[in-house]
Amino acid sequence: MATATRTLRKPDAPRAVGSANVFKEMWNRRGDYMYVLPALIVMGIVIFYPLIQVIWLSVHFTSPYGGPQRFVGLDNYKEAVQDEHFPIVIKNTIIWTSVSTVLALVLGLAAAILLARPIRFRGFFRSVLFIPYVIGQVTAAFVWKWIFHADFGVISGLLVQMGIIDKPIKFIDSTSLVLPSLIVVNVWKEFPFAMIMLLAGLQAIPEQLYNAAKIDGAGRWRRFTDVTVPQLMPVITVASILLIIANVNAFTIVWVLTGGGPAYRSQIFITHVYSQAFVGSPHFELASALGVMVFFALMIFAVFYVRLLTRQSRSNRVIQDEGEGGLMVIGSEPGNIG
Amino acid sequence: MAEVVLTDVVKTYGTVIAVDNVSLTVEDGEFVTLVGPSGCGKTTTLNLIAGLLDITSGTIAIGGRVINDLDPKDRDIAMVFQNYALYPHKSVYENLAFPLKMRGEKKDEIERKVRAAADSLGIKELLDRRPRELSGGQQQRVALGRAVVRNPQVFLMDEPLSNLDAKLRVQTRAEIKRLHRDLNATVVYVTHDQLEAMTMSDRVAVMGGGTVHQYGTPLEVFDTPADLFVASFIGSPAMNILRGTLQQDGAASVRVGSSRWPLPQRLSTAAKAMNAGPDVAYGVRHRDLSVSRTEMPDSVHGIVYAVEPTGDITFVHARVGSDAIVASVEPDVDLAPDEDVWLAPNLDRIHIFDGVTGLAIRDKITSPGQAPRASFASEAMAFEDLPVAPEVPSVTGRE
Ligand SMILES: Nc1ncnc2c1ncn2[C@@H]1O[C@H](COP(=O)(O)OP(=O)(O)OP(=O)(O)O)[C@@H](O)[C@H]1O
Ligand SMILES: [Mg+2]
Repeated sequence: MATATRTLRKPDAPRAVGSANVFKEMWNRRGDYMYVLPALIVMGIVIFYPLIQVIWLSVHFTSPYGGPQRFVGLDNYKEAVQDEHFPIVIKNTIIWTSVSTVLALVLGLAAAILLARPIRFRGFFRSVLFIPYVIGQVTAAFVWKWIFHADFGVISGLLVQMGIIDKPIKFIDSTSLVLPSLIVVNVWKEFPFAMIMLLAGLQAIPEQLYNAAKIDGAGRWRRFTDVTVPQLMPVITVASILLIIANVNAFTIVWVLTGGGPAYRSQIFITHVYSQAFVGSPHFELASALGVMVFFALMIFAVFYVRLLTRQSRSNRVIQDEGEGGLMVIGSEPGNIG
Repeated sequence: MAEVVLTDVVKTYGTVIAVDNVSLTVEDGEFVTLVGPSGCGKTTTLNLIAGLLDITSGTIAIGGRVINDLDPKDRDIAMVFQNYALYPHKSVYENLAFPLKMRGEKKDEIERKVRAAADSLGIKELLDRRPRELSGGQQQRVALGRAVVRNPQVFLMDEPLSNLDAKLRVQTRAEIKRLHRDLNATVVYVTHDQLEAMTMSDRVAVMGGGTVHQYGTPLEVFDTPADLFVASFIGSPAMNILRGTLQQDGAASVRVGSSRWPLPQRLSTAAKAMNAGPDVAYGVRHRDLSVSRTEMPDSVHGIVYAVEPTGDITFVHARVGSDAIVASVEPDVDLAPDEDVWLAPNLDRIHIFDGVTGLAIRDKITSPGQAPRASFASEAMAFEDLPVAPEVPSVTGRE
């Protein structure tokens, strides 16, 4: 078997592979691709077919009552953007994504630093703090719905009992408190993801760097700013990309707790897309246009960040052999957040 | 004055005793090496001096001041790490400047010192680079620079050469030695490489199992090892050690299997005086064995197993009974495997050790270190046509 021997032979001397070379290389190894072809076909069906379908829908007019579909160019996009609720949806999405991401990272870093020390019951604390992440989205959302409940909620109840407030707080029924409340739930749900990644990153920092810094006279704070933070930068970057993508794509928590209300005050992009498609009179063409927009926005963002990341990891990589642990966590992703 | 004095220092990790009652005095300006096999507690000892670990018991004083409870930064020490531990995101300049900045020195003062240090180490063209853009040797220099720039009383170095290739290691070895001279600083150096220890140090502390087995000049530990551990650790190839029984009847000797290894009367007497034996270990270095094709007085019969020419000396591996012996001959000597040879130890340079305690059995008057070395020229002539290894300084260039 020619292909088998080809894959088994010693790898060629390393050389720069330009983009033209990539295709040539792929062609040279076309036999190898036969092995992954079945998987590629399945992926094509479940990923690319819906994607193309959505793009096709987004440039056609589809009547909710059936009938022929008609090509309308970018009209659907125009209409979706000119929707009266579009600005507040964008605003909510930006607040939701940025605040959630920053808080999850800060909280995750704090937890990771505490858990990286040899404290008692460390394993226990690690597991406990990881619980929110493994609880199902819908389950978590319902639990918080009860916690926030105006009449029976734990928080309001306690505060009233303790005499701090005299009437229950309407967390998710209030136009001003709803988004912050949802962000709290979201951060609670996803900070363990940041924590685990940062913990792995922290443990990959060579002890010797801290020793050197101690001898050089750096106190706790300087060791944090001059060793920990720069060493963690690659992990922080990866974690923030993944969190941002997960937060832009978030749906469950908002949908279960508020459905985007009251008065669009908690409507974020994906819940908005869903509403357009399935709530009231169905507007698949508008939903598709919005879906395509967010898809390309995230694409551009991801490409930009991956570039930044490769550059950064090249320049920040620790020279010592132990130092590369930070990037090993790339494979993990905030799986069940969306 | 920056002498470093360790008194009964103990460090335990749970039940593991990493450093066991170490007492050691490093004089001001002295270059002392802690050498020993992996896991013997060298790094732990150094980190205790540095203040990176807490001392379980005992005291450490630098310049007459007990520093047990001082922070590393207040001990006036600098350290060079095995992996250099440079700050990867800082430029070379910032790496060198960092300790000075932490001490709150003025900007122009820092700049002046950094440039001076960079100058003296030949790294001034590298100041704007990041550590990853440097070769191993250059990183090494930057790490040295970061230590030098603070002008500390004591330098601590933990295997600073072990990541360099052989050639660079020899070169940097000389540079560190030179640096020590120029700075007139006290250096405590850690290595597991006995050659490094021997070539660089004023004094060597041979460590094993958390304790110091012997502390002395390189020649002392080489010529008069205090015990079996030191004897087998120092020297390359290692000293031939043969376990046997002391024979006091007639001519003194050590019986190993069916061979009788000759023993000078003084050692036999010393053993008697120390109540040692009859189990002993007989030690002789390869250079102290004459090799001959014919039987000589006081010689032991062996069979050549392998011959290893190294260029300036040829090692002869021989089997004597069930023991493997290494001897050496001049490179022009032509021996072949399976040949019969006779090995004659130089009686002035024999070591014997108590078989139970491992301690050296030694007569006070003429320990091997003080005994005049036999003239190889005259002796070699007597042993037929086989010249013996030339008299070279015992520890150089034999790796
Ligand atoms: N943090 C620790 N916890 C438990 N045991 C330790 C710890 N650090 C070191 N030890 C033990 O202490 C002993 C001495 O270790 P140390 O690092 O000082 O050895 P070393 O002489 O420097 O060895 P090497 O040449 O391999 O660097 C070893 O047995 C080691 O297993
Ligand atoms: Mg060590």
